[in-house]
Amino acid sequence: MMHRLSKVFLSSLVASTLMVGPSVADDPLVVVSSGGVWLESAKANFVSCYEERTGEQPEVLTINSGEVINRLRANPDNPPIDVALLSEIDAIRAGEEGLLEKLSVEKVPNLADVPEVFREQWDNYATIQNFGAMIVLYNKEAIPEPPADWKTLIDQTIEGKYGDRVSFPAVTMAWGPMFTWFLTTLYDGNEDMVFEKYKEMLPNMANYWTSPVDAMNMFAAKEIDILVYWDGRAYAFAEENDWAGAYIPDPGAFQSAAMLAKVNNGSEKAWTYIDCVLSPEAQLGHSKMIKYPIVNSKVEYPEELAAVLTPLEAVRQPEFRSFMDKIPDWIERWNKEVR
Amino acid sequence: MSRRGSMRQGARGYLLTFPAFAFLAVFFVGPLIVNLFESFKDGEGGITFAQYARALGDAYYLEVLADTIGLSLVVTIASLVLGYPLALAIARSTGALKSFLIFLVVTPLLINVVVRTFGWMVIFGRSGFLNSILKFLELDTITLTGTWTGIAIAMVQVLLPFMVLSIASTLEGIDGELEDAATTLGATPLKTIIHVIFPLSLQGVITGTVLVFALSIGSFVTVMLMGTNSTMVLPLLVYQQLNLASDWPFAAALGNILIFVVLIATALQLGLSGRAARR
Repeated sequence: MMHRLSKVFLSSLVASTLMVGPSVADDPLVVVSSGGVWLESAKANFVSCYEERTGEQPEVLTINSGEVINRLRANPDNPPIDVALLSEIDAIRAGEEGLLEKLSVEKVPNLADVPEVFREQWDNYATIQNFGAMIVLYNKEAIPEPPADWKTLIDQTIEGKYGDRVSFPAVTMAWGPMFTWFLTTLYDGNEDMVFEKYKEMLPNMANYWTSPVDAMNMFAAKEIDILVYWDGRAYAFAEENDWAGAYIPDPGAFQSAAMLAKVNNGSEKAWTYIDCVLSPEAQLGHSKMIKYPIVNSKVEYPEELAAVLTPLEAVRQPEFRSFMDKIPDWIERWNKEVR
Repeated sequence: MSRRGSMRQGARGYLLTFPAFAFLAVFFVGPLIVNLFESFKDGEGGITFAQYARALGDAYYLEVLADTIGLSLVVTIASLVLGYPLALAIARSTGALKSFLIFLVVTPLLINVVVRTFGWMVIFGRSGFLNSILKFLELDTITLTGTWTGIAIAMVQVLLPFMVLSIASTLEGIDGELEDAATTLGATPLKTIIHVIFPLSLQGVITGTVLVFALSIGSFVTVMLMGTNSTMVLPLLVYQQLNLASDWPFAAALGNILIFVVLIATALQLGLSGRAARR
């Protein structure tokens, strides 16, 4: 009996070892995308280009930036991902930790058409793939004259002008720290003032949203009249619903971006995929589907698309290194004070 | 069987269980040990207790720990109160009715907890199903999203099947003739349940309560989606520290504190279980 069991055990061990060999060699390229329409766009524009060039189909993961960087940290020598899509701060951290490989025109020819401003803060470890801004989506029926600037919106929310029908992003949302940084620029860099404003707005806040799906659902159900949200989705919603309007309060908005990067020790095929993502055709197709601006300077937007895209001049790119080390303290402060 | 034969059989038994133990050791105990070491890191290769000092020395984190335990206790007790009658009904029913009741209990488990939580958000929303009915009846609307009550209701719905199934499986093992005997001797149905059935089902009750408590204390999706900063729980703090603050040592420390609480609850269960068995 023991002898038979040993034989079975050994055979299974050998068989599984043999199975590992060939499967490793044939592993597909693993890339990351956001979900929903972003995934559809990635498949239609980036994956199709990659398939055309290589005859292979990549595996597309829909996981968030935090998960991506944690997976890379857990296995840096044999990463489970080849092309990462990260938040701006995670991309800086990943680059500094040696988890990413620097982009170059030699490896990614289309990088030559991506202006420096979209990659210099990341020291070329990552490039912006597309960007957007946090703007205001509002109910035109309830608020015929929305506030012209951010500070007025904040002060009127505190005064209760809009009841408790306002929703801002929470600091604990992925882009919450960037939005907080942007608010500090409105108050001469005074973080204490910003947290004070967060606290004062709380009684008149329907919620500080952490789930973008929930936030949009609340607005669509007319449970809130003012929602600070991403421009692409906001403009798309306003286009489809006459009662909704979207605009950028003065003095503008902060740029929020999706960062594209090649993972260190990942497959060399990743360069082809990244070059596909940054190609003018794929970039324009992507912009048309997700309604966000892209970064290839050769792209010319059709008129109807240009009308709903936030121009680069209207957004301010956060100075990430000036506040990224403060994020843990901001989160702690948010949890303790704004409740 | 000879002594040598029984020893050989015992050794064979251990050998056969070795793969399962090895799997648990590598994939369960291993990460916990890594987590433990992570919690003592000071970022410069040294060892520090600073993360635990921060978690246990700050009134805010102690408050969150207390709220986490409190929520779990409320969810557990509510699950027991609601689950016991349902488990009794399942155990005492037969045929198609039994199958139907089990189907009702098990089906929610097939639906992802995120989807179920979104369902509760739709029901409890400002203009959700519940408030729509209240408005129709010309009653004041109520706010349940962002409150401990709303979160507890959603968590009970998520975890109730674990309580019901734990208790029902024990109740099915109780001889129905014991209830007949109690009735014959003059006991009312309620007295029968209190003095005969419940004591005999204590093992299942304890298993169910520990299972629900452990699951609820580690739950954060429902709290994250339905809650606010005023309804913070320790697992959600762990999530924030990992994904937003990138503070792995502190996240590890918070996680270990949570594990310690669950271990104490499990130890209590083993003690109570043993006492129940001796009776």
